Amino acid sequence: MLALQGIVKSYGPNRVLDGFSLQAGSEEIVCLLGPSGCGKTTLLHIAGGLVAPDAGSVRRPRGQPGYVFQEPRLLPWRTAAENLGLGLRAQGLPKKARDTVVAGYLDQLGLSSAADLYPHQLSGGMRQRVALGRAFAVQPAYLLLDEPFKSLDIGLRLALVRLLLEEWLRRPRPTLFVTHDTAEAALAAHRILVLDGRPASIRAEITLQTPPWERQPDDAEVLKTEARLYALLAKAPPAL
Amino acid sequence: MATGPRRFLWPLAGAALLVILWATLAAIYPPILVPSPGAVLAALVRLTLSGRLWQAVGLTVIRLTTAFALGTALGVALGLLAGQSEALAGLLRPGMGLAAGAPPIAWIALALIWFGTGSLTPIVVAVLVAAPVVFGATLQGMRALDRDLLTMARAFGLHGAALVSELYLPALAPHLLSGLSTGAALTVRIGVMGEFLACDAGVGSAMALARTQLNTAEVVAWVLVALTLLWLSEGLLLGPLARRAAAWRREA
Repeated sequence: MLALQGIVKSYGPNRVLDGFSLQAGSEEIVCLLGPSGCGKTTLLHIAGGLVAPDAGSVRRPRGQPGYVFQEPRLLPWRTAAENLGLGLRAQGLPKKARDTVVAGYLDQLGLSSAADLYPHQLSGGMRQRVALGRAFAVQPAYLLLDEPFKSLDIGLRLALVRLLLEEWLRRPRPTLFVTHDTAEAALAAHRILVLDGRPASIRAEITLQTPPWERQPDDAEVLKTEARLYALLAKAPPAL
Repeated sequence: MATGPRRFLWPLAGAALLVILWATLAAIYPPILVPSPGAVLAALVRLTLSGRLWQAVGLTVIRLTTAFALGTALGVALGLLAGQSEALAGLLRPGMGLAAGAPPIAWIALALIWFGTGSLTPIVVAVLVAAPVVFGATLQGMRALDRDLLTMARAFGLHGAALVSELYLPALAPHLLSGLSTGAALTVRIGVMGEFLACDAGVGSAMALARTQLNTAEVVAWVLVALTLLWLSEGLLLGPLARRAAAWRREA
């Protein structure tokens, strides 16, 4: 279980989080939706230990997080395979063991033929798949996804959500998934939190009934959730 | 950019023009002022056959490589340090500005007083002049470092030697290489000048000796030797390094 309790964080005079609490169960995908600048990225950074909160406590599962950022953030001078294995390299895994894991994920993500290509030779979707694989490969104890599919077209986005769910099913773990996309949230989440800024607060909470991997984009529950999210977000005042 | 043989066509034509200009001047002025290309070539052959060339070049190469290695190490280390914070960069900048900005001849005068004649003077002066250039290039590279990539690396727990080899080194390489290239050129120029004034052996001091003997052809021959040293450092060391560092960019 991943739990943030009473988190306070300011950047200069801006209080982004003021006593914010949030938790994701050990087998739960929690989607965070809300206007830009309402503190979602800061929440993820605090959850993963990249940023220290001014006050409040964070309880994390034992083990390291698997991060996927808004942009792929691949090393331009390393091949797809090397990028995918970066976290394993950091763990100090020997090259041979690394290669086995990397080959497995390249295959699973449909990237085997791109293993030796550099990021600038890959399409946007392929780059983001490498970034997903890099997060999966470290066998993370929890997943932190910061609008990972933001710049991709809808078909690609839904395909990548499916890949994400497949991997999650193989090893369920607490997952925080920040997105702007109502369809993504309605398809992938066990629970959806709609946030307001600033400081961030939870405006609405939606718990979905069917398990994510059984949902289709045109299921009644998915469509209803999307409509509700859309209405909530349309009414939200922008955080300036 | 031109490719193939045409890439060399215009530089070669430019060099040929220089030789023609030189030969023309040599025909107008007496050989003690402007020796002919043939006379310089003959001087080079004499120096090679007598063994004096290799002796001087050997000593100079040792001095210059030492100076280049020290200057690079110092410049990179201080540049990395300055890249950590504005305060550190501010603390280091005046010293680097002083080393780079004071006339090299002033450093040679001081080094002669401090260390006397010998190898130390040209080495110290070359380090003082080359290190700030490498420092500046490294600092510029640190400033241009992609913060998002750094956050990513931290998020995946990359640290120590792996962080340097996966992120810092490849990211700094283009800046570093241009700094090293300028640094190498400065090392050769200032190092040979230091030898000219402070040493009794090596390419620079051989040049000084030829001058006192009014052997102008030999002076020019030593100039060509110094130039060759610089070309070799580009061709054998920096060129291949740059090609290796940029290999990933060329994959299409």
